[in-house]
Amino acid sequence: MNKNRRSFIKNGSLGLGAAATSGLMPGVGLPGVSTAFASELAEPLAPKQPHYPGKVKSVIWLHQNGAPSSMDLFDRKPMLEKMAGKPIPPSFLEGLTVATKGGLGNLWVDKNRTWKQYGESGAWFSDLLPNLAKHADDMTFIKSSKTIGATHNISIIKLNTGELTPGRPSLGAWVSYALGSGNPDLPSYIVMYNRSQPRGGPVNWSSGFLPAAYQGTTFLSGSSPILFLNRPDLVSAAQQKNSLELLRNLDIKGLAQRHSDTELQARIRSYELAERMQYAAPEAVDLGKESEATKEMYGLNDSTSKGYGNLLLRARRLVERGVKFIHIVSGSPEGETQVVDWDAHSNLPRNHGIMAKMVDKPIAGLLTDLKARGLLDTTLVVWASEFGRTPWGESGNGRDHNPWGYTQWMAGGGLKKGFSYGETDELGLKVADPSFAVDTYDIHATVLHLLGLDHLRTTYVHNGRAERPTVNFGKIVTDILA
Amino acid sequence: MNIKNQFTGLNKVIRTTTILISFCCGLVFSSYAEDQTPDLGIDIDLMNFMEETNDSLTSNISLMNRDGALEDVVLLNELFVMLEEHFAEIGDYPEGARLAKKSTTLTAQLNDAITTDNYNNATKLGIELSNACKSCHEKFK
Ligand code: HEC
Repeated sequence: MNKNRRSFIKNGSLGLGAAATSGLMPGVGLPGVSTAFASELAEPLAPKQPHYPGKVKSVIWLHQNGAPSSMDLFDRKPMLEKMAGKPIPPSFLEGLTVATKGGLGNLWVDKNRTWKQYGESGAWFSDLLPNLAKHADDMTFIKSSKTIGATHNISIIKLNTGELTPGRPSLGAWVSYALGSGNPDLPSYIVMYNRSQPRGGPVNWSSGFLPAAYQGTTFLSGSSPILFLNRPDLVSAAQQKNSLELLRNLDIKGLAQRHSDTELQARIRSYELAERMQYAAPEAVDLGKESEATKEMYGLNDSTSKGYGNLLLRARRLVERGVKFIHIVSGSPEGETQVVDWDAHSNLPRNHGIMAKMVDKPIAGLLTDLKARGLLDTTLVVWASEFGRTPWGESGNGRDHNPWGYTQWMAGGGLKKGFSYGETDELGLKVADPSFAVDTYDIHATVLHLLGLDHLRTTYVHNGRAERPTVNFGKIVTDILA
Repeated sequence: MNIKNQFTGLNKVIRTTTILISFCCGLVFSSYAEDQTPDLGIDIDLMNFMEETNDSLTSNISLMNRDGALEDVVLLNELFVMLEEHFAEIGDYPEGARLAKKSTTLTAQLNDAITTDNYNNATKLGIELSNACKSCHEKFK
C-alpha cells in the first residue's frame, strides 16, 4: 500500500520511530532534487553548501509560547481604545468563523496601558517592553501575520513544522539537514526552554521523516546541559573511550546489514558526538567568564528575567560557536506559580506584566550584545508565536486566541531595519489586506532564504514523495529584505 | 484504516469513478453541522482525494516528473470541474464558485506549464493552487 504522508501520521508513527521505519528513498537520477546519499549518511552533519550565499549563519528562533497579545505590545489601535466596552461591529467579523472557545465579548483595553514611538522609524511600543523598544530601528515587524487553528497544540506544531498534525520535520531540522553543522563538537540544532516545554513537546523539534540526526537536541539549564552527558565518576576517560569503540564496531557490523537504519546511525554518531560534547557543551553554556555587565544586560540580576536571560546569553555563546538553529521556548519565571506562559484568557494585565518583564530585558540585551560583537549582521533573531489575541475581552480582562492577524518580528542580517510590513484592521483582529498576509510557511521560506536556502529546492524524498519545508506553500516576504 | 488509505490503494481510474459516485451521494448523506459554517454538501472523500493528488502534484513538479505531474493535474482538473458544477448547482455561494473556477483555471495553466517543461512556472502555479484551497477553507470549512 502506498503510505502517504498523512495516513502515515494518522497511524501514529512519530519522530524517531518514523525516521527509523520509513527508511530513505534516495532520488537517484531524479533531476533537481538533493536527497540523502551515502556520503551524507556516513556524516549527516558534515557542513553543506547553501544554494546561494546566505545573509545569516545562525537563527535564534524565539517562540513566545502561549501567544502574546500584539495589540498590547506592538500593534497600537486607537480605535480599539475608543470603542472599548462596546461590541465589535459585525463588519469586522465578515468572513470569519469565530470558533474560539471564549465566545465573543465586548472590545477591551487595559486602561493603564501607555504607548510611545521609538527610534527614527517611530515604531510603537507599549509600556510593557521599555528595553526592547530601544531597538526599534534594528527590528523588522511583520504586522500582517496569520495562521490556521484556534488551539495552541495545533498552531504551535504548524508554527514549527508547517503542518497542523505532528510528523513533519521542524524548521530547525530542515536547516540542520540542509546545512549540516557549523561545529563538529556541538549539535547543529539546539532547543532550550525555561521551566516548561510548549504544548506538544518534542514533536516541535522533531526531525519527522528526515533522518533522526537532524532533530533538535534539548539543552537543560544546569552546568551539564545534556541529559546523562557526564561520564560517571567511576569510569575513567580511557575506559569510556574503549567502550565507545567497542560499541561503534558492533554497531557498524549491524549497519552493514541494515543500510538505511538511520536511527542506528544516529545512535553511533550520537555516542561519538556525546563524547566530544562532554567537553564542548558545558563550556559552551558556562557563563562563568561572562562579565557582570553582560549578565546585567541580559537581566540575570532580576528574578523574573533571570531564567530566560540565562537561555539567551547561552544562545549568543552558541551562535559564536557556529550552532545553526537555536530554538528557545519562553516558559515562565522561576518561582512563579500562576503564570505559565503568555496565554492570558483572564487577567492579561498581570500575565503580560510578568511575561513581558521576563523577556524584555533579555531580548534587548541579546540584540545589544550581538550588535556589539558584530554578530547581528550574520544572525537572524525571530520573535515567533502560534497566534495573537483578540481585541475583544474574555473573562473581563483577558483575551482569546486570534489566528487571523498578529505581529511577529525579526532582527538581523539581510533585512530592512526599522521597517514594518503589513497591518491589521483598525481593531487588530484581521490582516487588513489579504495580499499582505504572511503565513507560517512564508516565515519559513524567508528564514531559509536568509540562510541561503531556496525552500523549493530544500527537498527530501520520503516514501517516493519529494517533501519540502513549506509543504505545498511558501512565499518569501521579499518586501522586508534589504 | 481510513478511507483515504483505501482510495490510495486503488488505481486512479477506479478511484475517480468511486469518487464520482460517492460525490453524487454526498448530498444525500451529508448531515447539517451545528456551527456557523454552512454545510455545502461537499464530500470529504473528494476533498481528501484532492489533497492526496495535490500533494502528489507538488512532489512530481519538484521531481520534474512530467508524466506523473500531468496525470495528477488532469485528475485535479476533473475534480475541480466537479466542484465548480457543485457550486453552480447549490447556488448562493459566489465566493466558493469563484474559487472553484479559479482552481480549474489554474489546473489548466499547470497543464500547459508542465507540458512545456516550465517547472519554475509550474511550481508558482502549484503554490497558487494550494493557496486557493486554503482561501476556500478559510471561508467555508
Ligand atoms: C471552492 C471551495 C474549495 C476548494 C477550492 C477546495 N476545497 Fe477542500 N474543502 C472545502 C470545504 C467546504 C470543505 C469542508 C467539507 C466539510 O467539512 O463538509 C473542505 C474540506 C477539505 C479537506 C478536509 C477533509 C476532512 O477530512 O476534514 C481537505 C483535506 C481538503 N478540503 C483539501 C483540499 C485541497 C488540497 C484543495 C486544493 C487542491 C481543496 N481542498 C480545495 C472547499 C474547498
